[in-house]
Amino acid sequence: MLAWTIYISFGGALLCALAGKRAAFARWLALLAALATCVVTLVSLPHLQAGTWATVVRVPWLPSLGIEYHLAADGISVVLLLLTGIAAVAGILFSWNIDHRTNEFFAFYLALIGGVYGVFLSADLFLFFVFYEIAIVPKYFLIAIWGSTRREYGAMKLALYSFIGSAMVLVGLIAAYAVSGAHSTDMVTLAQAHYPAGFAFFVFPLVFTGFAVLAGMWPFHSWAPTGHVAAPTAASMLLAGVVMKLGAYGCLRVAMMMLPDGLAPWAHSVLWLTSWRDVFALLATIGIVYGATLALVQRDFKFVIGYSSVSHMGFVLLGLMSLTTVGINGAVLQMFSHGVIAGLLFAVVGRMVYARTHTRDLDALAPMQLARAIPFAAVTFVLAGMASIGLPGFSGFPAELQVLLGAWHADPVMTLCAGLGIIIGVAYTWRAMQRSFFGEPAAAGAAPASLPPITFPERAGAVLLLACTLAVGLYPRLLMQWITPAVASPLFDGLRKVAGQ
Amino acid sequence: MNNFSAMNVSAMNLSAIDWSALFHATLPETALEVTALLVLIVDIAFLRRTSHWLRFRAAGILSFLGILFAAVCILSTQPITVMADGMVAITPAGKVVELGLLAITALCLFFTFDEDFTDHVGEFVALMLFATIGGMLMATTLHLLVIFLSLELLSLSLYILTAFNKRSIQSSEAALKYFLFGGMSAAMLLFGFSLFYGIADSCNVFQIRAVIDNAPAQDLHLIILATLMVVLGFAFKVAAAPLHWWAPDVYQGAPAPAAMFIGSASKLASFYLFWNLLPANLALPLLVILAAVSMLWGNLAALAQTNVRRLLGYSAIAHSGYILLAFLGNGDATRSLLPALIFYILTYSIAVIGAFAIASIVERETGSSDLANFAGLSKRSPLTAFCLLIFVLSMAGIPPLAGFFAKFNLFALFWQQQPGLWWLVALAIAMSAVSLFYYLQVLKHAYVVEPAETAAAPAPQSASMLTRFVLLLCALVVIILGCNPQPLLGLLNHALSGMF
Repeated sequence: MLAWTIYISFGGALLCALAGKRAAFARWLALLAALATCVVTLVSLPHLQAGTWATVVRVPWLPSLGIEYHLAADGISVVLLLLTGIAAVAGILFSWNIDHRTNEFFAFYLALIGGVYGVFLSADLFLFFVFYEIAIVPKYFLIAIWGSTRREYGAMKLALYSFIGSAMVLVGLIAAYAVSGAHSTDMVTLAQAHYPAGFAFFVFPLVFTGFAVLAGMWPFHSWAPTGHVAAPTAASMLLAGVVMKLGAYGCLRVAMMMLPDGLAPWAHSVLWLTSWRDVFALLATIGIVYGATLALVQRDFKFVIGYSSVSHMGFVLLGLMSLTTVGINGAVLQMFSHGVIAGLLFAVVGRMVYARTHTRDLDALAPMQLARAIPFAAVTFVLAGMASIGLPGFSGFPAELQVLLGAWHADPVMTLCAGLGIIIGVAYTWRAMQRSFFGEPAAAGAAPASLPPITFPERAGAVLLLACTLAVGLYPRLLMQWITPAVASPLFDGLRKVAGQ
Repeated sequence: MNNFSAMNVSAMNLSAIDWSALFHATLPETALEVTALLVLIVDIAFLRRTSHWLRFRAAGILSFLGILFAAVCILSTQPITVMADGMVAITPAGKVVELGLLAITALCLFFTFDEDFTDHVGEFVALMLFATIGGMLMATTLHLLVIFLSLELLSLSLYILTAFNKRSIQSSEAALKYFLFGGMSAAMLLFGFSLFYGIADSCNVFQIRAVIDNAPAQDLHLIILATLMVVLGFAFKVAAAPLHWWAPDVYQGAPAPAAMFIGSASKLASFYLFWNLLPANLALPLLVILAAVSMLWGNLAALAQTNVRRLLGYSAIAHSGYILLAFLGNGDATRSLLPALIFYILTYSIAVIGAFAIASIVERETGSSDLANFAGLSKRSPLTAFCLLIFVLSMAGIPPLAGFFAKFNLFALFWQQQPGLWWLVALAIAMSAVSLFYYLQVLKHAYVVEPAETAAAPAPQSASMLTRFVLLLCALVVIILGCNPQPLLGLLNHALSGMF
């Protein structure tokens, strides 16, 4: 049943591509397809168990190499599938105004969504990789054709970073396949295979870094801000909302589940680092502080959000690298939370503000008194900003709290630095909010800029995303009941052994 | 290879040859030759004054009939026939290669239908068929002399085909370069062959292998010299760096159907021939260097190209580098790499032929195949642009297209056999990531860039319905072979297991 999320997306993409010039048809078709995938996910929820990675489809694909078409879902997948559905629907609502090559836009969009669903459902590493790459190509075209500032540069940079990351993953995949001698690319089989001593030491960082590139890990994050800025609103929302999660999910599901031994302590410490865990936790922490600091000094509104994404994704990686149950729980919840919140922020900046004012320069926005011109956007941004800085009641709070709790067990110093990142987060959100929406009028008593009103699809999308972040923030168990058993499942025993729990 | 030496293919004198069996064994080649002559006669005698449209179609359809007949003959011959000291050696693998060559030739001939670069239609098509015959003979012989003759038949046909566009100075320049370098490489190859003959006192490849394997130490330097010569000649044929100089010029200057053929059929025949010929363990270090340099140079040089055909030429060098991994297997297990090799070349051939066909369409519509001329292609003809997307991404190795699976299959099997050379796989994958940049440049122009305002309005759709249909078919094949490679791969595995 769940497999239909993939087929519906790709089928919708094909139909949109064939739709010709019928823009309205493509729009509605895309919306229906995205809604249908949500419905499929929701309907199959009762049949799933959070703690077991239950097979959805399993048929031989390439018997001569032992590759199977194997889809499966557990609690972690479910959370991310839900996120994908929500982000897809919201993204389509916020791109209702696309009227240039509309059918192609939604074709690429749905192809991207299909690839993302495929990644979150794959239980075979080869299949995982296939979907992972399928998701990259449409991103390039979405940005290069419908983007704004330096779109071709941003698109190419993003595509190359993604492909270099996936090349690292592919090397790891072939290495694991060849060295394990398992004649299978099933992830569980590969996780249980015996590798020669030292194999994980070299291959784990390779695969982890390959995925972490897409998760925006410092210092490989620089595609993210430029890509987000260049992308059209819906693509930014998907990029920050789900595509960066692909990377984080790959880190957890492939690198950490398959090669947990790569996290074992080294024989010698280098500086004060004693394992790859320390290295990546350090990079994640740097990313948190660095992203937040840069967000504080940007003039371009979208760059603020772009760098804040790098910072928030740092929490995901830090949570994963805490190697504690609570930290990993928090990381998965943060994937969902950031997906929704970043989507909302990008929607406000890209669609509600930029599409109306045609500028994202904070200094130019200040005299426009946007809070009075488009109050709905202002309210949405204030709420999204509060969610972003992790106020209780929004989904960011339980997520980042758990990450910090987990990280504290592992390394208090880094946790303090990450906490510093949150404080800077308050500052940059406040600054952006103040400058963009509540600026002083150029002349006393000047009327606010007159802008087209917020349309219904925008309102619907914003309400959808806000409702999600509030629901999870007020009642985290909604998702934690899926995440906790999944992280506690035997699949991650290897991690617990390495972490010494 | 041991299977064959076990068969003890002894030297036979001519009187012992069963001439009717020999005729039967070479019937496919003979049929093609007759077809080629018929094409010439029909074109020159009856169609001279008619339009290109008719002449290319008539020649093409006649050739299709010949190709079909040849294919039926190949399918109906005995699986294994070796006669006349290995001069004719029909093997399952050879048959697969022959069929592949025929299919590729047919595809190339399809894309001549819209061409009008020459008034010598009959000669052009006949030469394509001669080149195919050369390639087929290369796949069905184990005798050094026949190998050399068939290689020259292929090469000489290709030199002329390259020069066929007399209106273009680039075509002549490319052909001259191709010819001069080709002559040199043929000389090296012949020198290597003569040394092998001197060492082994036989022209049969398997007897030479057997002698080399047990050669006394004092012969070793001779064997190494001979291997070196053969490898260099081989590197030239498949455009592996550093003997690739001719490739970019030829890919850019040759008429499109000729370039397609050089990029696909010629490669298939040459790679298969040398896969049989090269003493792998001796040539290993050389081949490692060739592979690594080809990947690096092909990909890096392609980054700077502004002409799509030239870009494809450099990417062909890179692909030769990837394919060379199949030659570096471990001893007897090398055999299991052959299906991966053939699968790679076949899927690559479809993509490269399709890409050339589209480059040729763009050339006819806008005057040249520069990157800038691809601007707005997706608006002009969405179908062609979509096919280009598929072909280019397949060459770049993006799943779920055939090119990705071909790479994965080859690399994974190679790593299993030669874990010590893992860095070659890592290099190949890293270079594939680099190649994305220039492949995306092509797609960027086709999909993203708006045509410059100053550009002249492109000529109306120059591609016929049939051409576009065949293009779409090729694209679908690339997609299907990527999503479900098992049937073809299983077929190849089945056909190629055991022998060779």
